[in-house]
Amino acid sequence: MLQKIALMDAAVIRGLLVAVVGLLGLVLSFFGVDENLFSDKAERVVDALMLVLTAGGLFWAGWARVSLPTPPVSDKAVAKTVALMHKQGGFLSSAMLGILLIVGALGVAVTLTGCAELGLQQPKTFEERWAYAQSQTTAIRETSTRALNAGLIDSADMEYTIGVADRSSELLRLARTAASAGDTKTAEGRLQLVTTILAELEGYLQKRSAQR
Amino acid sequence: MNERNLSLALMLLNSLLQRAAQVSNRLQAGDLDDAALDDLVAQDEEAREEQLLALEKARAEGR
Repeated sequence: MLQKIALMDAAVIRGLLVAVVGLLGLVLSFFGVDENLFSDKAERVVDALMLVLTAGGLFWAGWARVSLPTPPVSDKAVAKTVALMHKQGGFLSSAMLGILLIVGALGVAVTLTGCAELGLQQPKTFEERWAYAQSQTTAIRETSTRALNAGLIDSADMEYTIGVADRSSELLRLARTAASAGDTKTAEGRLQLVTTILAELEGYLQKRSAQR
Repeated sequence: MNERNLSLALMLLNSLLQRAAQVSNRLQAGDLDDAALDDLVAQDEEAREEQLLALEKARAEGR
């Protein structure tokens, strides 16, 4: 069960309090309170210190929110956090997950087409495109084995994955045969089909792991 | 969308990039001849064998 912590134990709250102290000092200075206490020069130094205190407090609070654990400080926040964990399966937000998946999908896309920016050699010939497609079929086989061992997919998913990957491997074999016979159009068509099959298989694995 | 989904996405991306890098290295070395293509097929067959072993184990464990 998620436990709340005392308000003053939260680093974010501490940082905000420091910022508020500095801000109050600046407000008092604005109304001339310090003019009665300090000389002009000292007043400017005190103002600068208050400003540094405010900025430092805000930076501290922001840093703590980004870098440190942020346990809830009220029962209402506990309830909302637990509800969010139940909804998402964790603290990772759907938006961040979406970004990660898009980055992943882009990685796959550029891998299949070749991308100099990633340091990968761009395929130019049929054999080079074929080699990338073959390696991606193997990568999906490897991933499905790891996913099954980790309990991310079940036996039925694996049976389906093996069947589709087998079709991909067979198409690659036929594409290579066609290319060897000089039938470039058929070879390229089969290679294109493999790319489509692999993309669909990746989507299937993602969907099944999410449903489990 | 959950942590399982993310785990699988990262697992998949890692494997895809590793395999692509392997091919890329061979391209850069000018080493992608027929023997290299046959080697890729052999690696795929090995990965298939591992799939079948994992499937057999999962079935035995009722997963």
